[in-house]
Amino acid sequence: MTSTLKGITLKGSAELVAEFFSFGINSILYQRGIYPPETFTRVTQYNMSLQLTTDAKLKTYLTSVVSQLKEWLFDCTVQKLVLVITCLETNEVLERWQFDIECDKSAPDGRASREKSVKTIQDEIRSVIRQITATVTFLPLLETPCAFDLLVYTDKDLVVPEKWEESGPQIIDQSEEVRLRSFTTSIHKVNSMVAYKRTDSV
Amino acid sequence: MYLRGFVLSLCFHLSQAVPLPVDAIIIQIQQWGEVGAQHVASKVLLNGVTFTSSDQQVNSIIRTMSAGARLPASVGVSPIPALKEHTILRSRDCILEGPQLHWTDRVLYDGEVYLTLAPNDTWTAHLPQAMALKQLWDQDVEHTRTEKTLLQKGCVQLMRELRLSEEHSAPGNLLPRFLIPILAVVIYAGLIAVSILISKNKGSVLPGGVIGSVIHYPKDMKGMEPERKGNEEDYGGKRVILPCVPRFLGEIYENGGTMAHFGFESDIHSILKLDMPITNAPMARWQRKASSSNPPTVSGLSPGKSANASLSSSKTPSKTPGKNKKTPSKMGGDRFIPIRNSKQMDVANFLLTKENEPVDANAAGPSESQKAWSVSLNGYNIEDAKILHLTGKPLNAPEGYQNNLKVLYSQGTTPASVKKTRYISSTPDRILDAPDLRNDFYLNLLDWSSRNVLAVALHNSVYLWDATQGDITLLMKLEREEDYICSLSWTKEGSYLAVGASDGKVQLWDVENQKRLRSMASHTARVGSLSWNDHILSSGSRSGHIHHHDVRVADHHISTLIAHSQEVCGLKWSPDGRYLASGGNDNLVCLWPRVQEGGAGDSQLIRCWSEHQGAVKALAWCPWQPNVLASGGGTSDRHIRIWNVNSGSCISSLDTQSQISSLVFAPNYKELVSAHGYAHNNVAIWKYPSLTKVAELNGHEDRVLNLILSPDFSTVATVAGDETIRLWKSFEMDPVKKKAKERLVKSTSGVIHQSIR
Repeated sequence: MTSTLKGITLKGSAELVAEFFSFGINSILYQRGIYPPETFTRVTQYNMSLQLTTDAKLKTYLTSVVSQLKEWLFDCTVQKLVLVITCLETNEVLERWQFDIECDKSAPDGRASREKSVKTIQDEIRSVIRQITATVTFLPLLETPCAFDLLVYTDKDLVVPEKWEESGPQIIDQSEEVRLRSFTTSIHKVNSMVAYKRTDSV
Repeated sequence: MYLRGFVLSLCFHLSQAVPLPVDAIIIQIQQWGEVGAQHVASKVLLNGVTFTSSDQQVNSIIRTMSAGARLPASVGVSPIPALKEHTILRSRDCILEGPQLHWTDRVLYDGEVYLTLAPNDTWTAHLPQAMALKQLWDQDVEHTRTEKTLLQKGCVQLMRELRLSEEHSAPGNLLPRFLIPILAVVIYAGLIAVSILISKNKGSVLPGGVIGSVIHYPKDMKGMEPERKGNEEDYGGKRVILPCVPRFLGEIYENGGTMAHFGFESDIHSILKLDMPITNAPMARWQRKASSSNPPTVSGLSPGKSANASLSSSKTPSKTPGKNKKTPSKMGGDRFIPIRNSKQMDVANFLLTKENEPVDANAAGPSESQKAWSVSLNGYNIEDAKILHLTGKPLNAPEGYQNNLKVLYSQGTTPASVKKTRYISSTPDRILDAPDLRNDFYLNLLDWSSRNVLAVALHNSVYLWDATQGDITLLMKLEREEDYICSLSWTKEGSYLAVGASDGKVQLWDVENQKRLRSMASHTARVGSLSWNDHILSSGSRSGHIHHHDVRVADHHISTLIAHSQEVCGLKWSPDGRYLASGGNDNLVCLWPRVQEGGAGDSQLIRCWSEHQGAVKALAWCPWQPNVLASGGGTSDRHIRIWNVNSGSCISSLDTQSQISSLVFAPNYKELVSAHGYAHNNVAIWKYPSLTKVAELNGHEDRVLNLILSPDFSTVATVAGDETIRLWKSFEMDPVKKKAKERLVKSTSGVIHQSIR
């Protein structure tokens, strides 16, 4: 990989972050049991084995979201990506995985590259995904069948593309929040956080 | 007219400020909004009048003080639906009286007192609907406390600010302090003289009445009755008496403002510096209280009034001319309201400020606090971002899918307890007859192949029982009636059977074709034990010798192991083929290395344990721990010993109280199974490695001679002196796990078969 030596461009950074989201969302869906584990297949990425969905419907959905997200990342118009897990019956929001994206708009020309190797970035991404995996130990069990939705916070002046529509923030009433690690490509910085509904026993 | 106004205002001031100066400063922070709506406005009031200084520092104080505050709206609409679309006012008053700070914190609901904060930081509900909110907030005492501390700090800071600014403007005083009483006396005398003159002219009897009415009473006192009734009128008309006060004081400010400044400054000084001599000697509060026999005249007692007095220092009056112009009708006598409880003031101020608010809000755009509210309510600023998602319903898993992560969360059901609760049948699954079975402890007459065929030697013939089909076949029979079969051993692959006989020969049989492949003679005595390691067949004899046979070559006897002095009755290769364990009637357990390729003569003994006190027939290698060997002693020993073959140490030992004839590790539940002769004649299942007894399988009427595990590890077969073979289905797995195991077994077979050919 020649890019390892040269550092990272805006385009490469957008690619990396979008790739992270693709794997991250898959990991969450797998780890939280939103989709049956047998519909996932094992792949090796970031030097660790990850689960990717084989469900055709889910695959197309994720591909379309991530490819759109990539464009927005490249334009630096995206602020947040939120994965909302809701109860299928009551539509109550149970979990909220929030990825805040900070964009360094000073390097949007696509030519200037930064001094950070892809390997270092991938190491950081790996630790974020490891943490996502580890959250299973403290997040409350999702006992009811659940649905998920992806919300993208964009700049106010962005033209809403076809097939996309505006949505509410879907905040959890009375939630606990846990901050996860963050990583940066030196152009995009992604802070992760998970909020979950406080259980009555606590 | 001007002169009269001047005189009036001056008198008014003198009556209040000079003899009885301000003794309290009231700072109010008010926040209001409609529940459900996201608009929240806040305001700081100083002694009942909006504090609208443009000073940056004051603004920051306002921000600090109102930052942590909550309205019911902020707790979400759902908990208290009754509040929806009603106006809520939160009013926090900080009253500085002398050196003491007093607190009130109230929530007003459409003008009625809804909640008040008790001194112990809990809330008191004044309406039944308020209970829900009270409970909600009472749970959050910490928050309330922080809010209070914030507000306190802010107030103190605000007071300091005021004091400083007043000190700044103090040099501008035109009238020296000592002139005030003189002036007052002069004017007073003049007025009396004038009134006497007037009364004399009109023939009035009460000369003092005129002055009294001028100074103290509004013209229409009844209309100003500040009780509940008046209050309601205020709400209806959105007009209250209060706006008149600033205007009136505004006049004072214009005419005699310097004096007002002076008064306020000294007040602040007396508040903040108690050690300073009190120059204009205001009566202490308790003194005034004691002398307050005539409430209307002792006007300094009312907080409302004292507020009015200090108002003269504020610059607000000049800034609110609009309000005044709108209320000309009530202007006339509204100079002083004798009793005014602070609640009314709050409401009045609230309604007033609310009325003017929309204009300000539109002009200035969303305020800082609004933004803060928006962020805290929505998690983001509506102005800054919009949230998008792909059209359509949220995605969900296919119908009927149940999250099975529950396993991860289950507690208490550790694997150990699962095993304990597993049902182990105490009766055998099947009983096979074994007539003519030799009841000899030192023989190994039973083996179960990986192809699920059970081989048993009955005197001089070998019978095969297909466990899957249930067919019985006679494989072979020794030619001579007096000879008998001493040992059986299947190859790993399960297609060949080695048979050791009493004549010292070892025969090799192809089971599929029921054909003897070869007969190997090397021993001088009966062959009581056999064990395969790939193409090497090891045989132990009554002579104490162990021979390795390479079954592939013509000269099969490749090496002899000499260590035992008596019959070798136990012989087992480890699963990885690295070690051979042998046990003898001489109570020894020996460990031998793998046979060197090319057969370099006699192998060296690795280890020899002499701990057992009886014949060692029972030997078992642990399938999941390659270094662990279990051995069991005979009648005089009765111990199971677990060895670490690498270090040579005994890991653990257990007295079973019974002769041990066979040991087997059952991998399904990680257990050790032992077959016993005298005295119990049973089979015991032990937990490994704790060696606690899991179960006993009773049924055999004579000593159990051999025990063997089925290829699927679910069943053990035992053969006993009572000429029966019993099958015990004690280790059955869950169907899921079973499949996984089967796959494993399949993958490991095949190699041996090739190597034998």
